[in-house]
Amino acid sequence: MNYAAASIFQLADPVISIGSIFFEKENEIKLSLAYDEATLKYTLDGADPSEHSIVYERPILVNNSGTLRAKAFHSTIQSSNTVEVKYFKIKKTPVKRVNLKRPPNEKYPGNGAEGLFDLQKGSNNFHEKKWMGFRGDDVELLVEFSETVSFEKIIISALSNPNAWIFPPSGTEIFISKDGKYFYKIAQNQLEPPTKELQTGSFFSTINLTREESRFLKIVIKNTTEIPAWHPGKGTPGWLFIDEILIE
Amino acid sequence: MKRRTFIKNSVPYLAGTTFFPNFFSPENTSAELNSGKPKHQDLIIGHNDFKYKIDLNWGALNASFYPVNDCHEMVQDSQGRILLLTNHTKNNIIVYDKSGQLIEVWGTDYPGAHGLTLNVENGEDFLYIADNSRHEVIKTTLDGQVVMTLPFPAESGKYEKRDQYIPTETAIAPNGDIYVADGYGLQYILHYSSKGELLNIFGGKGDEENHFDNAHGICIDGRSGDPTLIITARQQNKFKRFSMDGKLLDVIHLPGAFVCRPVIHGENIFAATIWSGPDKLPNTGFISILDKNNRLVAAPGGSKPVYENGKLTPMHQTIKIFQHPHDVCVDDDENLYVAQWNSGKTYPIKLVRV
Repeated sequence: MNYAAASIFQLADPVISIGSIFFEKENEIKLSLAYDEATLKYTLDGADPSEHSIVYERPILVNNSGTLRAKAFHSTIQSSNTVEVKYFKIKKTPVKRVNLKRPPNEKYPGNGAEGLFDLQKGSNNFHEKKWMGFRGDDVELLVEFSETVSFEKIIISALSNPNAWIFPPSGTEIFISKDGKYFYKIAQNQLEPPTKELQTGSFFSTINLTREESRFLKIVIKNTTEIPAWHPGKGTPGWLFIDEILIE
Repeated sequence: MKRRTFIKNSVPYLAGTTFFPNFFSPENTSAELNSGKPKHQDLIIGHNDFKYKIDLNWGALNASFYPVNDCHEMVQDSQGRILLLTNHTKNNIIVYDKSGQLIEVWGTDYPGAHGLTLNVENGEDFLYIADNSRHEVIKTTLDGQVVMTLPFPAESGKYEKRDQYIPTETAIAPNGDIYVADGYGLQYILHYSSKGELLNIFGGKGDEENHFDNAHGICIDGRSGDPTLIITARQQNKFKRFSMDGKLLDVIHLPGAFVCRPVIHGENIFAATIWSGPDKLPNTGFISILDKNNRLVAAPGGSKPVYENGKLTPMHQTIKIFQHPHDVCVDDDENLYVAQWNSGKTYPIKLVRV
């Protein structure tokens, strides 16, 4: 009888736990892979972890935006894939009112429009309450701040999960207004259609602005109107899931 | 086979050595050989008393003649043979001996073959097949003669149409009553007499603890005297214990473990765990083993079970052996057979207890 050798298998992806990837002061990141004699190593500079990287021994405290990458090593079993988490230190904007032009799909209402500004990140599980889901529809959000705020970057936090027909946004348009009635466009971006390599995970779309001041903001997040040809759902509308909009 | 592409087939990288020169050179000392040659070290997985070696080739057949799609469930019959249920209609049932040798195949009428339960009635083995596509449960003899069919339960008044009823599993009580879990349908548990009369219906969808989200499996638990039901709520990472008349008794929390059907063997519950972790990502399965107090004691392929303040810390896969385990069969030698859903049409994996 030939039993399977340890060396043919690969360690699973380490699990990253983080209170919230959006935080105001500091944040704690935990790593785990509860396999005997597996060692977890990580980097905070964006490099792929190697045997020489820092050994994980206790929760990691971070106090700035960044990226943590981690990998598990073992003497006989193959090293894991590299996993990573991006985290964002941000100042909360004083949101007074949020209006959604079209409601989300009834199955995925999220925590209401205000939930998009609560600094609570959803996990990769789209069933989680933090996720708001839209089928085919673009998301059009009207935000009123309680005072005039200045901002220079807007980050849309979305989900990608091609198995569940959930795709990143295809583009974003940003408008501002002095009176909440007449809006003019200040920025837009267009994202490449997703490729076959698209994986399940967080997706962040960042729109950089020249510093703007406004009390009113309109954000249009474009859905996938036609799923690309490589996917079983080709030609039909995709799902767009968002959990947070960051205004920096 | 796909399984082999899933497992990385490369020689482990050893810093500062090259494998072939050492291996072929006669001058090398045994110390050098040891440093350069990848040692064949059998992998042992599991925790506490439940540790296993892995037989990846068990039951592998020529797929041109004996194909499988999803390998959904497995049972051992009274003769010690291992029966595999697949939703391939060329051979819905594949019968093996414990070494993995093919004995026979049968069954071409079960396109949605999903649940397989064996019950001994007056000394004879009978099978109950829950078919997702046919929306019914079929009782057969061990060689595939149909004895009874439990059709879509229109008489329950809970269903508007047949398609809403997608049974995943059956369990047979000591008195012969049949319980069916509608795990992919409206989440009801249907209680029939042995003759097929509907006696009770409970569960269903909802937010209360006596409701289900993916009631994927059901079994009779006779471990502590009077029988009770253990029913899977897979999407909720729980097993729920019910009385035989449909009252919720208690809940077994298994955070991070998307458990399939509970399989009772001796004092333990075994359950294939199809996904794990907070994100329910593909190919993250392992096997869960609970003790007589329904606490997780071992998780071959998964993280070491740890209880903190009486609560299980969330489970995750730790080594990529299983893709999507869908059922586990425990044989009379305490070995496990793991049937997998959506795993490249691979045959079951055997875990040999050490």
